[in-house]
Amino acid sequence: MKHILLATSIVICLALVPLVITKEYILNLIILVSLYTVLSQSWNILGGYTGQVSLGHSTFFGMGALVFRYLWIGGLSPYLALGAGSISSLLLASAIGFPAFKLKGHYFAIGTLALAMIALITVQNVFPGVSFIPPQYLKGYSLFPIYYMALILGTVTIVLVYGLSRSKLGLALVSIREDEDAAEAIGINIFKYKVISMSLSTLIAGLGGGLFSFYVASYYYYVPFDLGWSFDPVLISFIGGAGTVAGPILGSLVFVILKELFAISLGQINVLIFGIVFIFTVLFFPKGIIGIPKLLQKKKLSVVSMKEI
Amino acid sequence: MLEVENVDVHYGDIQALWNISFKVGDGEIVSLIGSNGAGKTTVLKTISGILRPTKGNVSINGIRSDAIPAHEIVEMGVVLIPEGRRLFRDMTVFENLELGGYIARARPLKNQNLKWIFEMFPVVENRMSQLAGTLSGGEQQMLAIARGLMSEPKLLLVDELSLGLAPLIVKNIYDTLKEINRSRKMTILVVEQNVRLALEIADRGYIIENGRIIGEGKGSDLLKSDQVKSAYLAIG
Amino acid sequence: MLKFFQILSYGIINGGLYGLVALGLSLVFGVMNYLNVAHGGLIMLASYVTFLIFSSLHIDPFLSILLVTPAFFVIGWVLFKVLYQSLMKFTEGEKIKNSLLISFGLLLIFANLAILLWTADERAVAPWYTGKVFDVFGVRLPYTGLGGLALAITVIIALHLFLTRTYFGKAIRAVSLDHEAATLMGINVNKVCLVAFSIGFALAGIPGVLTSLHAFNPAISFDLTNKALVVLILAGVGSIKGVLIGGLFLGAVEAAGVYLVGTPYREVFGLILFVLILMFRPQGLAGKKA
Repeated sequence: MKHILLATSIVICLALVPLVITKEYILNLIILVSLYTVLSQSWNILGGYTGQVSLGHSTFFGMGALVFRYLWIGGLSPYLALGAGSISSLLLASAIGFPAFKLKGHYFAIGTLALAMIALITVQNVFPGVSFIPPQYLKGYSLFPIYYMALILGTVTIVLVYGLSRSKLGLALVSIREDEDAAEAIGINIFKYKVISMSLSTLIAGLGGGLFSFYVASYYYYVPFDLGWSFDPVLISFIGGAGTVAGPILGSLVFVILKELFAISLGQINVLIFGIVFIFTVLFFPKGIIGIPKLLQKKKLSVVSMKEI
Repeated sequence: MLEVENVDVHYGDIQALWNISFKVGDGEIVSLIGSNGAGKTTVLKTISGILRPTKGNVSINGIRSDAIPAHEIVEMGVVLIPEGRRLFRDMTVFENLELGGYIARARPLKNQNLKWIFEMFPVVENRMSQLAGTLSGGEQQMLAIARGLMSEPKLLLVDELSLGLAPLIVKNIYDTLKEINRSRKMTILVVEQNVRLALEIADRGYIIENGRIIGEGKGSDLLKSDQVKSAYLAIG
Repeated sequence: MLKFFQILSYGIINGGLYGLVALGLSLVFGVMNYLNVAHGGLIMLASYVTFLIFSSLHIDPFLSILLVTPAFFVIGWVLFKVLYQSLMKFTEGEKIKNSLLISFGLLLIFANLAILLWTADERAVAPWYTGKVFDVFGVRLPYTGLGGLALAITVIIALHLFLTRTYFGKAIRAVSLDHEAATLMGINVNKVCLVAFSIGFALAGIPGVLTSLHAFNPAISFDLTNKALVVLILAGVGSIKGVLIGGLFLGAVEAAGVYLVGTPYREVFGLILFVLILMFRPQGLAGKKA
């Protein structure tokens, strides 16, 4: 209960921010955190809760961006375009994503990676060049609608994942992650639930792509398909805490802050650092940042009860 | 040769063996009998070092072996012919045999051991360049044993060799084992579900039930005992 | 017609390289069930090392193989000892998932480290024979390509002999098939994994030298990993001969793609083939079921 109160007050505060703070820098940061949160949560549903490690989410992120861009510049209202982009990601998933479930473990990961690479190269060749915002939009470009879209999407995503974590569906997904064979044995239709999981995941990834497109004025068409968008959510979710609601949020926060700190230096040091932290996380803090308090608690208990961890 | 004292073994949190104690003397054939799931394979896996006892100890010729890594126990002269044979199916018969003689002291003796093995199991010689996975069940079992013999073990552990094989072939193989025991004085510990066979070749036997040893005696005596008869031979 | 043979010969030359690229990955995966997604990153680093050796010491890349290979062997040895300890505490299923994640993390680290150290600019090693070709009935065969092909064939034959004619090589194959049975032969499985892992690293050094002869930058980490994975799946796990065949097959498929559709989509053909094989014949063209 108090979580919900806390969360609601945070959302309200965030909603009021643009009315008080005019520094664009802060607004940009919040938008970015929200963007990464949306993308990471989308990965989290499939990878964190259901245990299917996908290295190809950039495909669906990119798809959402692509469709949004065309529809929005073509005159459609942003939120409708957003919805369309999201659904197109889902459609793409049904064509190439669901069949990928034939693959298990390693093979699923590299299969999705291959799909992402195919998507990237195809877009680079079919849509070369830059996508520009038409001049009339550029004149009226303001961070306000972008900020609110980011806030809405972020909130919706978090609420969705929260609801998932407390639902029977969420339970089914987790059981698949923990032990597929056992889950099947108790009557859970593995394929059906994986499909549901991927559907939710790609829908949200598509929303994220749309947000990206709404936010970034002009970019090469292939940019939202870049593999970084596949890798970052994996890093973020794990470091924050895969399979939790707050994990990807925290992870995104840290990620964006690091990005800012090192923005002036060459290359992507934030990814380098995250890569190193990621490895440490996998080896020593499998539950991510979220799990640290519990880990410390356990250590304290073990001293008292002399039980081996 | 082998001494197992008060051994407990766990699979994770689940206990499989309670206070197992028994001995195998030099040159003996000892059989460990019991029904499915009684713990027989667990005992052999513990002796060969694949599992570690959570309590108690195992000694081979007076030297404690329960903390020694499994591959070094092979060098001590203890070889397990595992349940299901575990041949390298994608490698040839010859390569399987070579790997049987992998340890350093066995390598120079490869050719002479091969000769000996061909005498014991002539069918193996015929199939040298075939892939192990293409052999029949009986041939595979023979190969598995032949492979184990390549390192000239002092103690041979045989796990459920009769599984899935025709009775005549099984008898054949046991006769060969008995001959090896006689001519080479090789100590053999046999684990078998087929109680009659196991006790017929054994000098001594132990009965294991639910992870505990519940009986022991000379092979011939056990074969006649009421306990064994009613529990395992469906007589009386 | 000439164009066809030209493209085909490039395809074969590339195929040899692809086989080399996948060799280390295949070996390690077969022995330890560890899919080293960072393999491409290692090859990329080896290219940079070769470049540095060439620019400072002017040693021919084909010769610097003698330096790079043992160095990478040692790096692999050390890395294995460091990581292996920490992985031990996980269950089998977790080990596999975590090792995939770790190698993924390493791939990102390698790529970004390279960008940091050497920027994303392209480099290439250009010894005296760069650009020189043999002209065979109008088909141009570059010296570097032929040298690479010869190297690939040599290494693969050498590895094959090692695995089939030496005790330790057979031990490696045994461990790939059945860890427990190998232990029962008196084989120290940990040591075999350690050596195989190190050989895998050394086998990243060799193709790295070759890739340095053409324009490269940190991004090739991903391309090379992708190639290695494709060849691995084509070849099936545990088959060294299959790796060469798989590599050549990939080279041929790409050549066909270039001939039919043009260069930009070269990668896509291989990738589509990859996905198809993953779905319908995961044991590959030559190997056994993974």
